[in-house]
Amino acid sequence: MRITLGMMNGRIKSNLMGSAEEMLHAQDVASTGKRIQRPSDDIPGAGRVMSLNTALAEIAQFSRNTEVATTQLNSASTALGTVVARMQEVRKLALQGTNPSLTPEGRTSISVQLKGISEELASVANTQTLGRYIFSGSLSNVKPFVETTTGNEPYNYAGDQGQLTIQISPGNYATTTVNGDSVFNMNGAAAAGAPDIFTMLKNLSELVEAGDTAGISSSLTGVDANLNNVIASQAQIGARQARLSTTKENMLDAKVSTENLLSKTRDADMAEAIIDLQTKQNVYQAALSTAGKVIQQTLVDYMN
Amino acid sequence: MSLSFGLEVALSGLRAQQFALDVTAHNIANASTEGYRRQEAVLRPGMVINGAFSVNGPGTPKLGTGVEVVEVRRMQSSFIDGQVRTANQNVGSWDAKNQSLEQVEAIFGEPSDNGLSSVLDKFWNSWQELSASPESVPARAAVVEYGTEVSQRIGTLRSDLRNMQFNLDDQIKDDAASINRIAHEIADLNQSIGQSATGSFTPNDLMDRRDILLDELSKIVNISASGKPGSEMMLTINGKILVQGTYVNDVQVTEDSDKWSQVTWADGTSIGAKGGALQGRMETRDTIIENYIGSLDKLASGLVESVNATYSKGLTSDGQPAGNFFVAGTNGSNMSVERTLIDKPRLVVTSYTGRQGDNVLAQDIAALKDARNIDGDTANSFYIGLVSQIGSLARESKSTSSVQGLSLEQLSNQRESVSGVSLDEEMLNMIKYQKAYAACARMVTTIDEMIDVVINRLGTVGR
Repeated sequence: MRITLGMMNGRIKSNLMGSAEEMLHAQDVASTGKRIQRPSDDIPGAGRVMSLNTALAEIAQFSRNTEVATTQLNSASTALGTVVARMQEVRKLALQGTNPSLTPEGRTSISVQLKGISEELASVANTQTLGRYIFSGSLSNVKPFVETTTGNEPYNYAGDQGQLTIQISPGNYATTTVNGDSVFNMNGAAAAGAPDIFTMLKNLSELVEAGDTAGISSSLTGVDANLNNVIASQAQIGARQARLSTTKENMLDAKVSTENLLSKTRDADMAEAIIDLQTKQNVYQAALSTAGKVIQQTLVDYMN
Repeated sequence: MSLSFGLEVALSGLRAQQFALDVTAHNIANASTEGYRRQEAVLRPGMVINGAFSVNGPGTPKLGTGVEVVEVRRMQSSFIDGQVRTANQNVGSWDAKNQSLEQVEAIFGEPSDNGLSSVLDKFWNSWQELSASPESVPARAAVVEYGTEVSQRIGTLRSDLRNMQFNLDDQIKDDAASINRIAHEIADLNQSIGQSATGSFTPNDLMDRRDILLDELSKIVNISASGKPGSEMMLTINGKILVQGTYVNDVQVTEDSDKWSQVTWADGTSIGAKGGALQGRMETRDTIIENYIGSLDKLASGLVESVNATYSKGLTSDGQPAGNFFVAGTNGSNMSVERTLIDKPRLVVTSYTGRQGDNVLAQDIAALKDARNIDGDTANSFYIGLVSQIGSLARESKSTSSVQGLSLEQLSNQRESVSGVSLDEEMLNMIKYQKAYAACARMVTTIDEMIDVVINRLGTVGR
């Protein structure tokens, strides 16, 4: 085969270009630390990176949802804790009220305390967290317990039966609210046979005031029924809180393993990338020095 | 046989060697000229004549009359040239595709943390966020914001792709202009070649220029050259004549019903390019990018329809129907969140009941993320599919164009091997011709001395 100047130059040029291009790619990989620069570098890998990024974004969102759910459940739990404590106090006061040796001043004092508790419970029942009334169901912008002047019941329930559920992981929803009407037995269904808590307190304070010890004793069953009802709600929320923290841990595990997988798919093995870059640089150097040697001389250089 | 006969022979040698040296000089001068084909002076012994006096033995002695230059041969192989041109067409077509697809990959910019994929994630997550805090106005604003971002991102991708189509369209017009320009240059060269060819001497350098033009043309469109290699050369595209001798059948650019440029013959029929950059650009413009735009539109209208289908069942806080979230009936080009929601994000509904703390609708929209309602795929996986499709075509065109490039390089080397100038060889030739020239000159001197003997010293015995 005849070898000509054009062939040599052409070959040198294409070899230089080729090794320079490979060196550039190796540089990209080593300097960004990412194996996949564009989809055509690794098509299934690029698709997987996108899916994994989506999964990570989803996990982050579910974690935020879990935080919101936890905050709401915590405030409900605190509120119910207060209600339980006050109800136990009520029970104690009611028992004191049955003491026949009480002075009228003592009775009035108990009655005033009972009224105070009623007001405190009403304010607890109207607790707001993250901009919503936690005991008003779906009508979260509506103050659920409204004082009435008509009828026997001191407060009416203005909320509804709706509950807020928040998605905390794929296919997994957490209910973050308890409805006020069941906690405070507003329709008499939650603690059967007992009046709602506010009516009960109103009646109780009237009975204490009047010194009707028999009446007080008989209404104690109602106090117990209501107390048990609130404790049951509290237990329910406790169970939900436990579930949330399990979910949170699972989510953390999922996050770590997804990030691992993402890194394995997307990131370059740095040792390999740097060795690769070094190799490509050597090849380029070799191509350059070969070019220098080849171009140097022809027969012309040896002729006088 | 006169003494001066020898002088004539020597003179023919001087002339021929000088001519051959001139050709060598031309070769060296053009050693790095693009498209130059090495030339070679073809020398042949001169006519044989009968010797004027007999030497011992029967018959008449035959005598050569020196040397003559019969041809300046252009070292070229039509077979390899044909192969190079076929390879040029393939490289032209795949290079055009490869360039465009690299751009498309860059436009989509995946995988990254800010491609459409992550914007879609943010959109779905914003509905999750809203469902967790259905009372929140900032969460509503985020839903509108990311809805708008999804719309805009799809719109930008789509218009970037459209712009690529417009660019390709301009390039196609340029290609048509180039085809005509080259065709006319070839026709002009055909005429010059016809005029300057004399006997066996062909206008080699004009033919080199024509070959360069043919190479250039073969990168743009599939051509075949036939007929005589001289002035009668004929160029055809898919059997239709583009150039015949000095006649040129210009190609035209016409707009089709979609306002895209088509390259046609004067009678309006498409030239139907089957290779070269023109074909690559037309395929990219009409099929490849058009498909991607179609997919983006499908993604956009799928999102619009599925989100609206759920959203419109919602109720506002005054118990009014919620209307649409995205403007109905839009595709990738004009997708947008409803104007009223952009102006007042607090109007975004989260429920089917209109109650403020009810998040069921928001949850249902967030769940659309996993709904397979775009060609049996979720929005995200449909989009990932599109990106993979782009990636695999980019990869194919990249590797094919580099393979085709290698085969072109191989063929070019073969051509170089036949046609290229080797300086070593030219140096050897130079020495060869120079020595021969010197020897011929010495011959003249020798004969001159012989004549001197005859004229000045013959018959001077005893002087």
